[in-house]
Amino acid sequence: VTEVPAFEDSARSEAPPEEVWKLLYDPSRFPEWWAGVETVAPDQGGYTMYPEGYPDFPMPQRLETARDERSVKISCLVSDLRFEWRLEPLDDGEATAVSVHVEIPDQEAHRLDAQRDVIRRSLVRLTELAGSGAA
Amino acid sequence: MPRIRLLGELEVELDGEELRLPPGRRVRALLAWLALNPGLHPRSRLAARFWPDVLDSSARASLRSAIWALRSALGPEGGACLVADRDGVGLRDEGLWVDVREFDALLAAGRLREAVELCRGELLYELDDDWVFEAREQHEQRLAAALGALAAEAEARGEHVEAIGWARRRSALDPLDEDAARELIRLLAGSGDVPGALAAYGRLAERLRGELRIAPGAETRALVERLRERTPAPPALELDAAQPERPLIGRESELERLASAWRRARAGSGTAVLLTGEGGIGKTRLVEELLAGAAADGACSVACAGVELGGARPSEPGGAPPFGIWAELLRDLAAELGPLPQDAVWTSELARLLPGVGRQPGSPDSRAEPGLERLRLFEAVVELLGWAARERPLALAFEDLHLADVSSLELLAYAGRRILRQPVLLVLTRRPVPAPELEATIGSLHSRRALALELGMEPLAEQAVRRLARGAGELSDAAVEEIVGVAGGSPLLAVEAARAHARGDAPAAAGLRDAARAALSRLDEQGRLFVELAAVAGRELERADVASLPLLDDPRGAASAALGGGLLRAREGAIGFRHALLRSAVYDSIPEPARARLHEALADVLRRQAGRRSTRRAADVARHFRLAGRDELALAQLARAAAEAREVAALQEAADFLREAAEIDPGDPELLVELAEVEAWRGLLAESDRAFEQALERIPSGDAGGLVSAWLRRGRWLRGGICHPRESRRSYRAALDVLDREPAPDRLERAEALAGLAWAQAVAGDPEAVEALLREVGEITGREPVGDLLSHDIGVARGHALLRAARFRESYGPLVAAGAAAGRAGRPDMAYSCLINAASAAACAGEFERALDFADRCLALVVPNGLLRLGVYCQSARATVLRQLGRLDEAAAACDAAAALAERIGLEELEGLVRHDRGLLALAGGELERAAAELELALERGAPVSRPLARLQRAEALARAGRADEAEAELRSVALEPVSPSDFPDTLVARMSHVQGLIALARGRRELAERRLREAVAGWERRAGQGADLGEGYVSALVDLGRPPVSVLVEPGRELARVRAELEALAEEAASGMAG
Repeated sequence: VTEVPAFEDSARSEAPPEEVWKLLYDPSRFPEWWAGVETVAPDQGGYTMYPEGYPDFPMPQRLETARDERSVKISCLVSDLRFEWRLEPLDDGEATAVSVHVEIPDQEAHRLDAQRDVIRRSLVRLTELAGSGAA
Repeated sequence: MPRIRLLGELEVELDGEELRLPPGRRVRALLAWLALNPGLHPRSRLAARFWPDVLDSSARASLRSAIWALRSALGPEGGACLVADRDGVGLRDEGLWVDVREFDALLAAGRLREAVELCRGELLYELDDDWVFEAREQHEQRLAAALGALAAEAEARGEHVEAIGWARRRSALDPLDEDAARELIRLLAGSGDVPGALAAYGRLAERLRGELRIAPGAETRALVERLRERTPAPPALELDAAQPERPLIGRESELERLASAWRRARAGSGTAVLLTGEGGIGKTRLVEELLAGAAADGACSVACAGVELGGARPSEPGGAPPFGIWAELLRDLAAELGPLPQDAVWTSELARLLPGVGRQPGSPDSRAEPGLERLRLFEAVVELLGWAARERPLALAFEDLHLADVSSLELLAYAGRRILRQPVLLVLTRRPVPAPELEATIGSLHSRRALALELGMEPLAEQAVRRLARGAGELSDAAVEEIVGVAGGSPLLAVEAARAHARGDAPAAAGLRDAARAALSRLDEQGRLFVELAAVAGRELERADVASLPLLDDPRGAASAALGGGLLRAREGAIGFRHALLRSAVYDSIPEPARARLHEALADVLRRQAGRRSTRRAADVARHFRLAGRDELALAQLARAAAEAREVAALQEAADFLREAAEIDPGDPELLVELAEVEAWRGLLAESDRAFEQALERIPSGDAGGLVSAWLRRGRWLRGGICHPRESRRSYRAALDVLDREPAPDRLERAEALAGLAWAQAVAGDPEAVEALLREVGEITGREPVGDLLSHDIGVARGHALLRAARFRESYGPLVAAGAAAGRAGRPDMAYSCLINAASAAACAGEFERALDFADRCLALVVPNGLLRLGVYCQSARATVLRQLGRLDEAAAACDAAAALAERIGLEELEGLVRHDRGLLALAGGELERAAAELELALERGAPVSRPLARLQRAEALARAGRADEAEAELRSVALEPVSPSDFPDTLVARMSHVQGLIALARGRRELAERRLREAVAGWERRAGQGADLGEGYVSALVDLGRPPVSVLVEPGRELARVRAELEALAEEAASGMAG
């Protein structure tokens, strides 16, 4: 069995879980925190993200959430990139631990480091944005 | 040309060499049938005869597979006799030699002896299909006539011994043939063997009485009367008189507690009681006393018991037949009750368990998926108990439940919960041995407050043992004390030891095994054989069983002798061991080769009886054959047992039988495909796929029919047993791949695969591909009428494609047509599915009146057909639609009706669904506290609804009720709830913002409230513009929740208007506040 290239990252948000949750479940707000995403348009069965600087490069995504796991999985239908986000309440639900597991297809393994950076920046923005919305 | 032998085991010989026949029961059956019926037969008729339970096209594929296998086995030369063209299949008549036909030809030529010599055994000994029974009977009638003629010829020649031999053989063919028996009696008497003649008469009389409940005819009686004048008649076998029981000793307090439970039950508070204790501790004796008391009280008292077919080792091969103990109990109960009402649906449903009751003519033979059928069967049993209890109270004993099958236990848990308001007492007994399924049943009865008393049976006090010992025989004080020492408080051991002492033939310390041996050794050979047969049979022997026991010259005389030996007792028309431990002791004492012989002889008798009486005993027969070491004969019985288990919707047992059969014959892919299907209906995808993979490995690559049939069946079960449209799509594609490689693929098979693929594409693939696929189906079938199931498939595929594309109004037509086709095919469950989808589609389109009409039509389909679970769903859908229409009183009535059905079924999740609907109704009616409470219960019980949505709705009720902190906690748990596309995730965010606004309002934080409500407005506005996504969420909900999403449907327009109104109110309030 060969392992797919993957990595984990996590951050603490001072917002309660429901605030982070609202951002994760609302693709129309992805451009506010997901680094490199310029616009998002809904389409049948999911939505399409347009990377910054590439308005003619649609990347359809699917929000795939499994009933038996408390996580949000977002997979890119073009490149097989998979993001799995998990939330856990901290401090009696006043704050949230946000963690993400990213899987990258073999043929794009060279983008591992770049993705690590993108996700780090996105996490920081997500946790901050949630915190500001909670007020 | 091949020579085919059907008498005895099926054999085919080519040029003097025996051919190896292909594995697979149905392939062999097909060959045998074709040999019996030479000439060409239409494919469709053969397919329907040998594969009656699958769709026409799958059956045709299986037929092709069987022909392929036969042709491969017969080789080029033998295969020449097999004709198979586009329309027909058959064996060429010219030159074909078949022993049965040769037999007929010899008979016609008057060459009787040669004809009889051909009969090596029963026709198609290893096969057990209905047509085989018919053919076998016809052949046996001709054979009997030949034997009768041979006997007459021999008698005319003065050869009495030879004549008796022919007559015996004739009489053995059909033990109920009175003419044959009378001839034998006459010949025996004529040869001077009057006792032999009278014994033959005794056997005949017992059999006629046991099986047909008639006496021998006048002619026979007159013949015997003349003989009896010469010899005194033997005493009649008395099975009905209850033998005097010794008084119950040392269990007074236990009996009083049970009697008290009985009195409460009799007064209408039905319940169960459980007695736990080691074997021999006196459970049965106590239960008998209780039941006798209840009977004296006017109750109808009936008992049944779990049985142990082999020895004391639990890992013997072969499982028990499903519902074994219930079948026994219900048969005795029905006999007590007299004729059942013939106009009730439950009476015909009950026929599945009680073949004697009979399905009334003209009753709808509607089938449904196994889960629904199982429930319908359970309900029928509950109805029977309720009907019986209206006349007089019931005291029903279920003994040795640690040995009961899993279906019996599930039914017991179900029935136990449903008798709480009826005059019924269920008395349960068990030994303290591990039995996980029994623990689950007891746990379930406990949780439903249906178990009033649990008694642990302790060893008897010494004083009680002394009294018991003295009651069993004349004993000295020293002997009594010795018995007290060895009995260890066990009444069984005490009585056995006392009997042994009284006889003076065994020291008291020797224990049960030696006591049983000593008792056996005192019997004559026939008496001992009878006891051993009773031990091997494993269950009580009724009159009819006794008369047909194998290996005994005079079963009745042997029974009388055996009863005198002290190990057996007669009670209520049946003979059984005085205790199960005595049975085990006798069973274990039979040496191995003899034991196997007894098992095989019993299997053979049971198998013949099953053929005559169409009872369901294949599981028992299989187990006897296995214990006899005759696995090759057990195989057909196991396959039949699996079919019988499926007949009563006992899937776990069906899977066990199939697995066992597949272990015996690992080469038969059909068993594995069947197993894969059963596992799928049990919801076990991994197990199903494993069996399917194994089946594929065993289907030769050249066997296109076998491959197509397997893939088509898998495609279908992945639409029902497990809803897995993507895998279903893969199956239909695989079937099409195989068909595409064939030079002349079967049209119907291709049509089914295309229609199935169209459905899978509609639900989980590319909905735009659907029309093209259905067009191709139309081109294939042309103007010819297609079967109802295929019509249904076509309509459903078209309907779902439209639903997916959110073209809701257009979907009504195809869905209604599909429902009508399913109704014609006798599948109300599938018709329901079509109409409830139409109802959901109408709700999505905002046509609520229309939705209500569809839901009402569903109700008329499911409730009269006993499909209770679907009835709950239907009422739930009605409640939702009525709520949307603002008809809250009618919605409440629908909730009440759903609650009544859910309570009958007793599944928590369905009760949860009703709570959910009541919660939403309360929220709509402004009863906020009630709404919060009902929704909390719904979530607790795992209602099959969108959990995040239900939590948000509960949070809304709490926030509006001013319970802001609790509302916030509920919101937080939404964020931790798993979410899937069927939850319409894109609407959850707007709804959460809305509830956050309400919480802020409750806390008086107006500014924050306004911000949250504006967020919600923005969210709903975005959502209101995206109609197409509704279709996507719709099909996801269908797959996730297993039913159309009427109750989780979201109406963005309505939600938007609600939030806007709240924002306006807030603004007005602020304005008036400022003005004030």
